[in-house]
Amino acid sequence: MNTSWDAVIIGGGHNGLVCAAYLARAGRKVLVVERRDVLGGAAVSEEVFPGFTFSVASYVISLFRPRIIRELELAKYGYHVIPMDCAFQPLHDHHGLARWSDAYRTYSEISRYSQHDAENYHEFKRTLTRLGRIAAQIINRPAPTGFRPRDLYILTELLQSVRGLEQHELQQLVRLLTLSAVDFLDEWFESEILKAPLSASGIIGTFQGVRSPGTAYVLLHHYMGEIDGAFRSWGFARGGTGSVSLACAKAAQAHGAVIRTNAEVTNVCVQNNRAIGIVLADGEEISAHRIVSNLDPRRTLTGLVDAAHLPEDAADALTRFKYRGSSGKVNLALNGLPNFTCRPGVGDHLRGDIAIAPSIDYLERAFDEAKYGAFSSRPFINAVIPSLTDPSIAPPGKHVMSCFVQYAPYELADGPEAWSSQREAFGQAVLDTLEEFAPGLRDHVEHMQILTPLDLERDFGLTEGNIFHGELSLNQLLFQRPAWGLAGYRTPIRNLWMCGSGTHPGGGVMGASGELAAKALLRERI
Amino acid sequence: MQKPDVIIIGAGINGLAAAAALSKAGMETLVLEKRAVAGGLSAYHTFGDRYRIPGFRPYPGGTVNMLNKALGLTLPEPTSNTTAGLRDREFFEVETLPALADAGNALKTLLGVPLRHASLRNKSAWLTTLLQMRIKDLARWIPLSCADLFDEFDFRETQRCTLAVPLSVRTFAGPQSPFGALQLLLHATENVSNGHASLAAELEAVARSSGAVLRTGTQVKQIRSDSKGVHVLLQDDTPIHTRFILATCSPAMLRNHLLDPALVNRWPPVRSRGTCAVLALAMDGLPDWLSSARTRVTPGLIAQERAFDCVKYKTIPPQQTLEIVVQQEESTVIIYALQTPFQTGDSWAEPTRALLIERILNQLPDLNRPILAKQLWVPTDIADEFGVPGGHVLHFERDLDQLLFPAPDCLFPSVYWSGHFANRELGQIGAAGLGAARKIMNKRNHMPKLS
Repeated sequence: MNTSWDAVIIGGGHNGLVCAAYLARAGRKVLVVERRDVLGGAAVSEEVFPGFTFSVASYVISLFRPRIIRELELAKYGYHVIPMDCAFQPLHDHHGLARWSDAYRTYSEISRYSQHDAENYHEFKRTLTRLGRIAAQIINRPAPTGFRPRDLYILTELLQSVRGLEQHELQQLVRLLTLSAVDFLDEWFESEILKAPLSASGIIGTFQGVRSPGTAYVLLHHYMGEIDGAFRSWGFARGGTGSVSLACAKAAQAHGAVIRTNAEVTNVCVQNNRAIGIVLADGEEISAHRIVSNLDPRRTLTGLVDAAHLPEDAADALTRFKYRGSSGKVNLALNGLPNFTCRPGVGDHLRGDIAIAPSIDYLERAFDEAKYGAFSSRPFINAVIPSLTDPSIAPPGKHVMSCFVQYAPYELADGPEAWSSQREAFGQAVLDTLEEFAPGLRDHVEHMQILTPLDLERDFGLTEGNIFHGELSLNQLLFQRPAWGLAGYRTPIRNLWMCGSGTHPGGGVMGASGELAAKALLRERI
Repeated sequence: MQKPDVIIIGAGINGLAAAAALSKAGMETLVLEKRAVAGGLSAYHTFGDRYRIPGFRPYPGGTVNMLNKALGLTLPEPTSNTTAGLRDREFFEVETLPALADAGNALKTLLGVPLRHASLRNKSAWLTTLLQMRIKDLARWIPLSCADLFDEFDFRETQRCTLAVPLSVRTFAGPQSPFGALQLLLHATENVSNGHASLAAELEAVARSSGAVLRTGTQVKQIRSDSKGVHVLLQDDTPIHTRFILATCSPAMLRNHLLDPALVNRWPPVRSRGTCAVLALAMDGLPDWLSSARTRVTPGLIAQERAFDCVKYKTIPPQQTLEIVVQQEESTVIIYALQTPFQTGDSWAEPTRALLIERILNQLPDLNRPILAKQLWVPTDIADEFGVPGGHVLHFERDLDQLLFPAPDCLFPSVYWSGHFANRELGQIGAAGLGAARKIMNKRNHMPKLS
C-alpha cells in the first residue's frame, strides 16, 4: 500500500481533534476520519429541532486544559466559554439555595439554612481548590507506566508537589481519594440542603451513590477546572459544546490536517503485529504509519482489531475494564422558561446550573433503584438553560434546556435492549420530577429529545453509555487506565495508539488525553 | 499512688498488656477503667444471671505470639475453627481461599509501615513486597467492591455470599460499595477463632502481680495539660497528675470527649458507625444443626446489599447476615447480627428490639429447645456500655484513611494513644498496647521525674 499519511485518527471527537491539531502543528500529515456527519463526538452541537441547537451530550465546560487553548491558539478559532454565575438548587418549601460566584451573596444564601455552614463554605472551597491544583498536576502530565527513567522523573515531580503538604493535608488527600462524598462533606457542613447539591457533583457519570466510597474524588474533579485563569468555574461554550470541538478542528485544519466526515472505519489492518492502515465502510483502504484511535478501549481493540492479534492478557484486561454507564440526557425545546415554586419568575438563578438534589437520601434512593436494574423514578437532574446566556442557539423568545439525568443504568433488569421500550417512561419521569419543582413546565415543552445509555452507545459510540469512556474509579486511573500494560496511549499492536478518554487522565471534555497522546507520539519521532 | 508514672485509660486487652509491660519495667502504673470489670469488649460478659458470652467481637482474630514474647508468658495460641455456611436453611461448606489471604498479607506489609518511623527490617520487607509487583494487583483490587472482586476471582455464589459477611463488621459498606475488597483482603489474613475471653483475666493477673494498680468504676472526664505536666480529670473533677498518659479508648472517644477541642480541630471526625448487634441465647442443650463452632448465615449477595440499604436509612432489614458462635460446654449461642443500623427512627424502642429478635430467629432453622435466657445488645447499647461512640466493635471503621492516619502524630507531649501503634503489627493481639508501652519506656529515660 502506498503510505501517504503519517497518522490517521479514528474518530473526530474533541480528543481526536486535539491530537490531530498537535500532530499537524508539528508538521505531520494527519487525516481524521469521523463516522458521523458532524464533528465533536460527544462534545457536539446539533440543531436537533429546527431553530434549536443543543449541546446534545456534554453540556458544560470547565476542565478543558488551558495549555491546549494557549498552544493551539483556540481562541483564534472560535473557542469562547462564558462562565456560569450561579448554581441553583430548587427545593419544595423553602427559598431554594443558590450559590453565586459572589462570595457574599453565597454567604447570605447559605446562612439562611446554617450560619455554621456559611462560615465554613469559603474555607471548604479554598481547601478543595488547593488540593485540586495538586490533582490538576496529575492530569497535566502523562501517567508513569513503569519504572523507566522518564516515569521516575514524572514520579519525582509528583512527589515534589505532595512533599510540601503537611500531614493533615496529606490526610485530606487520602480522604478525598477514598471517602464517599457525603462522609467528606459531613466533616465540613451540617445542613443537608447544602450537602446534597455538593455531594451530587461527586456522582456525575459514575455508577455510585453519594454514600459510596470513592465519590469524594469526583468532587475534587469539580475544583480542578479553570476558565481564563479563574479556578473551579464552569461555563457554556458559545454555540454549544460542539464549538469547542470545531475550534480544535479549525486549528488542526489550519496546520494542514485533513478531516473527513461520513467515513466509518470498520477495521484496522494488522500485519505482523503492526497496524498498517484502516478500512472504511465503503471498502476504501487507507494506509498510514500510525493509527490513533479516539474510540474507547473496547471499541478500539475488540471492535476494530481482529481478536487473533490481541495477546491474551490484554484481552483479559479489556474485559475487566468497567464501563457501566449510569446517566441519560433529556433535551427540551421550550417556548417559555421554567417557573420554580421556591423562586418564582425569571431571574439570574436560571442562568447557571440547576440541580434537582433536594436531599442526600433523595440522591441515595435514586441510586438504590439503579443498583437493582431500574432507572430512578425520581432522578438527580442537572439542568442548564444555555439559551439565556447565548440566545443564538434558540429561536427568539424560545429556549433550550439540557437535562443531565442520573441514574439511568445501561444494564436494566431485563438487559440494555429493554431501554427501547422504556425510553418514553424515562423521559416522563424526568418531566414529572421537574414538574414537582416547576409546575407548568410540561406545557412549555415543544420538543423533547431523550437519550438513554443505549442511545448514547448507538449514536456516539460510548460503550455501555459511559460518558467518560470507562468508569473514573481509582483502579481505572493513571497507570491503570485502561489497564496495567495498556496505559501510556500505546496498545499491544505496534503503531496502533489510543487518544480517547479511556486513557489517562480520563473524561470530562479536558482534551488532555488527546494532547498527551500526541506528545507521546511526537516523542517517538514519527 | 498519688503521682503514678503512667496512667492508662481503659483496661481492655491493650490497656492491660501495656500495664503489664510498663509495671514489669518498673514504672508505677495506674489503670483507670470505666466499667466495674476489666477486659473491655474482649472479656466474658454475663447475662441472665449466670450465663456468659466471650466478648463482643464477632471475629476475635490474631495471635498471642507477641504478648508471650514481650511479657514472658506461655499463653496458648487460639485454635482456628471451621465455619459452616447456611443459606435459605440449607447448609454448605465454607472454604478458605489462599489467594485472598496471600494478597492480604502483601497488603498488610505495605500498610504496616507508617509514613515515618519504621524499623529497617520492616522497611526492607516493604520494599520487597513493592518490588515483587504485588502493588500491581493490589492497586487494581483495593478500590473494587466485594462483588467486583468476586468477579475477578470467578468465585461461586456460595463463596461470594459467605466471603462478603465480615465486610459489615469492619466498615460501613455493602457488597457493592467500592473499597470493600480492601476489607476482604485484610480479613482473609486473620486467624478467626472463638475468642480469647480468658485472655483478659490472665493479663489482668499478670499486670496486678507485677505491681500495676487497677481502679475499676472510675471514668475519666478529660485529659489536661498545664505547666506542671499532664493530668487526667475524673468525673468528680479530681485531678491525677502523672508523667505519661496512655489512652487505649476508641479514637472517637478520645477526639470528642477526652481531649481539649482546640487541640483536635485539624483531626477530622472519626467515622465509627457500628452495624453489629449481639443476641445471646442460653439454651437447654443445643440444636443438632449447630454442630460447627461457627455458623455463617447469609441471605445471598443481593439481599446483603438490600440489608445495607436498610442500614443507610436506619431501618431493620428483613434479612441480614448472621455469624453464630456456640459455646458447647455452656450451651450458649451468640448471634452477631451484622447489618443492624446504629440507630433507628424510634431510638430502639422495645417493639423494634423485639422485631429485630424475631427477624433474626426467623432466618434460622427451628431451635427445638427452650430458651432459658436471652439478651440483645444493639449498637447503641454497646456504645453506652463500653464507651465506644458509634458502637463500632473495632473502635473505628477500618477504611484506608483511618488506617493510615488514625490520629494526629502527637496529641500532647507525653500523651499517647495506643491506636497509633496498631498498624505496625496487624494481627498481633495486644500489639497496640505493647507498642505504646515501648514508646513510653524509651521516652522515660529522657524526661525528668516529677517533683
